Amino acid sequence: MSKFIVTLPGYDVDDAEPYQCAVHSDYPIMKMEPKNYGQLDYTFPDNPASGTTRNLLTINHGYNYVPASMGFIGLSGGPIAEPFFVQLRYLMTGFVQDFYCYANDREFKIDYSVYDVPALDVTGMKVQMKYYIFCEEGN
Amino acid sequence: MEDAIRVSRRGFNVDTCADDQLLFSSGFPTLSIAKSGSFSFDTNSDRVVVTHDLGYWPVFLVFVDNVYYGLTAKDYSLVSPGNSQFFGMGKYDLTWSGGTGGYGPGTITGRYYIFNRPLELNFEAERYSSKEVDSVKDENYEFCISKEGKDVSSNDYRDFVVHSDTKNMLIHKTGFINIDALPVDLTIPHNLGYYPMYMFYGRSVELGVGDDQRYQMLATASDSLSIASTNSITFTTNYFATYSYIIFKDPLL
Repeated sequence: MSKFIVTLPGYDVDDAEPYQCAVHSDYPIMKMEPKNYGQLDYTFPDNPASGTTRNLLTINHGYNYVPASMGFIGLSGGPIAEPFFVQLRYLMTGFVQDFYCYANDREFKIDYSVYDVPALDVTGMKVQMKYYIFCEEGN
Repeated sequence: MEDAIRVSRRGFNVDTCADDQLLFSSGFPTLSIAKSGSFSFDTNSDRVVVTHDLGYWPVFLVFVDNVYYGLTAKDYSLVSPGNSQFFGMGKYDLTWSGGTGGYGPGTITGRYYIFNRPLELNFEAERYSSKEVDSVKDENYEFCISKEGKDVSSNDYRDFVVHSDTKNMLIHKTGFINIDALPVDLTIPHNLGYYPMYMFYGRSVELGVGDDQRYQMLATASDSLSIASTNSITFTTNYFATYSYIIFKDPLL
């Protein structure tokens, strides 16, 4: 079987480990279609009530399977001002509200939820959201 | 050192585009998948989720369903700060050690991606250009490698190792730092001039000893905080002794 291998500088294509390669045809790379990554902003016009969830971003990814995905969030103009955080489930430390990035077989979403009081008033806070929806399903 | 092979994505001029607009370059590592799959098991017992036999701690992602959070089973997210420590990545396998205390009783379902990239590897790529250029319509350009057994004419990008219609995660810098005094307040320079995409991992002394220790994904939460700026990443935490980071060419903004 033929292979296509491009090694990183200093490594021999005949004996390089996969991680010493820029491309190796035995190992697919995590890929994204241009329509499935980008950046959007949301500014809270009001303060969501306790016990509610507000959707800040929904992307229809066009796959009929659950793709790998990631979201990053930056905050400004509100009670918390931070440049971009790495996303998992972003807990607003010490408070009872959070941002949540997730995907299903139709959409990628970022939600904001308030679980209890007292929560910070986020009226006027700008949320910058970067999303990555990969082609890969993981099966 | 100039890279010897450089291939751009469709619509971008390889001579003028930014580094992150390339499809690949022989100077930039990528996140290639060593192993991926799905799992479903009862949370009440610790277990090996999957073996990988790479012999090093690899970069990885774990996604779980969100029944625990009151969402539907079809909603998947990266493991959250409250649960990420229960998925431990070792040199040979990925394990679950949460029990019902970590996720609640019942079945946990998810996906894993294990990459050909050691978490403990110091590397920094060259920077050629960070100036983004506009793409142009180019119907005659295509570079793709299909997976073994898949047709190169497929319309499903899952069938490809690499495809010029898609964007790859090109690695700019990776490294690891051993810390023997807490709390930790790290500044990791990247000098890209923009906010880059990045990920953090921690090797926990609570999950094994020495080579048997396990890495978990680290997130923004009460116990860890990572923040990107245009020329560095800062990371603060009160836990763990070894940190690993991976910074990509891709700009968040």
